[in-house]
Amino acid sequence: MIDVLVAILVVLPAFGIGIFGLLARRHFIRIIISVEIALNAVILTLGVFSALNGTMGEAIGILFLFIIAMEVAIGLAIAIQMDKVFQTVDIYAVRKIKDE
Amino acid sequence: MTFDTTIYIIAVALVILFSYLAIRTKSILISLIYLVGMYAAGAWALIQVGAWFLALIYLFVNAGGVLVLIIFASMLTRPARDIPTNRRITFYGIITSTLLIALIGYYMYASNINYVASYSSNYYSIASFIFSYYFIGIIVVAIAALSIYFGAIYVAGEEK
Repeated sequence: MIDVLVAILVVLPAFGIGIFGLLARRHFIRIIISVEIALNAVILTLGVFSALNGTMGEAIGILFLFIIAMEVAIGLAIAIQMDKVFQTVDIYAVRKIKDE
Repeated sequence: MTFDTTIYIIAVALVILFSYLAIRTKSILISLIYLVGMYAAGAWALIQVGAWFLALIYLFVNAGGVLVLIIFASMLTRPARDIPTNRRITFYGIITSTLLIALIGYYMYASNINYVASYSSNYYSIASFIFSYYFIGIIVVAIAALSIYFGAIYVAGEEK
């Protein structure tokens, strides 16, 4: 037996940490890790929704997991290409190189 | 508050701790170790809710796919110093994430979902749900996954 509102509210700080990392970090792979943390909080919330709505939350959670895997694959491919072209994965350094 | 909710809160507290450490650590590889901890704690939280099947798939996809991808990407790129951005942007990051948490939290609290529920995964009903109501959805996700993985191979393999 789980208290649904409490279970949803306690996940929110994890989402906030992900958003904070997304905004405050400059290493591209670390930014992808931050997005991963934020989306992980969404998966946990969908798990709680499955307690609320039966199977639906779990089914959407499974679809969402595959979308997260896709996001990571394309993001890391971009990181590798960024490293080849700009010799760095620091997004500030890339912006500086592009401005010059 | 029920006993299950207390255990769930402990699991989510571990998720929050590991995510914070994964963001704060300087080395990407050490941050990956914290990410493993975060996945384990997340799976524990999902099991505590009763979503066994989602927890299983969650561990398969994240430990088998995402982590390996991040390890390979960090091996294939040059080690860059992950300097935190300047204080102004960090401040804006804290403000934005706090506002977002407050907004979502307020709407969740205002929605009055204040009841206690119990759930346990039923594999048959998940499969029938996915292959009936969400059949189009899973086909779209599968085609998108295929095209995105080919796209990722193309982007990563392209010469400069």
